Amino acid sequence: MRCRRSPSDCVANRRTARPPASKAVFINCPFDDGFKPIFRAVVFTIVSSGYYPRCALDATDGAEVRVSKIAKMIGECDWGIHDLSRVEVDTAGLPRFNMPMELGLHLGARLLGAGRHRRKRALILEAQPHRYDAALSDISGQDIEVHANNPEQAIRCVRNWISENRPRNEPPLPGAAAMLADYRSFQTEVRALLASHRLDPLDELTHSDFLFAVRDWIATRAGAFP
Amino acid sequence: MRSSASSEGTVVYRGIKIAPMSGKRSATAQALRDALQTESKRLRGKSAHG
Repeated sequence: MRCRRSPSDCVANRRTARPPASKAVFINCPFDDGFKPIFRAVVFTIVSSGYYPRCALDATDGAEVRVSKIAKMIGECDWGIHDLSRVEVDTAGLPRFNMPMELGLHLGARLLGAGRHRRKRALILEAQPHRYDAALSDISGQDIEVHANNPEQAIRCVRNWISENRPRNEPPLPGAAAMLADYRSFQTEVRALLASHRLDPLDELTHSDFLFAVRDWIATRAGAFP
Repeated sequence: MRSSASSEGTVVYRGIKIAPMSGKRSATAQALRDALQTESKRLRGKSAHG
């Protein structure tokens, strides 16, 4: 269809368009500093695999009810990664229920939804093998992998899961070792550039800035800069 | 693997198409992009001149 708006509008629309659901991966995990190394390794792996990470940090409208925002995002993603490694009792004696609830929304959409929702895929990440058996045994039979609180292991889990579930007619993903090497190079090179330009350190970049950093580093590696 | 696409379009890296990010770059993200571009040019110039 021909665009009747000005070329600049068309570019703006293209740049703010939501990614296709078939390429969108919803990440359900804690966003605290302690979990950030694993979260960012997962984000890097998703972008490197040609997919789009989506998470609650994407949303900017604080007025919207959180659960509806999350449900809408889950609806827009055919893929979901749910990290249950931090579902533990806090100092008040209560566990954090947000992550299991969002996993429930995802599985509910797959079980009860129509059309493409039935093709939704879920990866459940844990820190220890079979810990979920004691707390959430209903999820047995799902894709459950253990990252042992190690970002590099999280890269392997996510890369292998995407590789196993992506359409067979798509090109093979780089191996886990190549992705790990890329992630180490990305961290080293971007950290040095941020420091030499007196910008915020890598670990303190906002989620949006981190996404652009990953994408721009990959573009540099691909030789896309003129 | 090299790509013929511009840095703001889809690029191909290790055989995988990587689409552009949606949204607007912050000043920090833009500064980092400029730094990556400059560094890339510097390294390519260095390798071209042995």
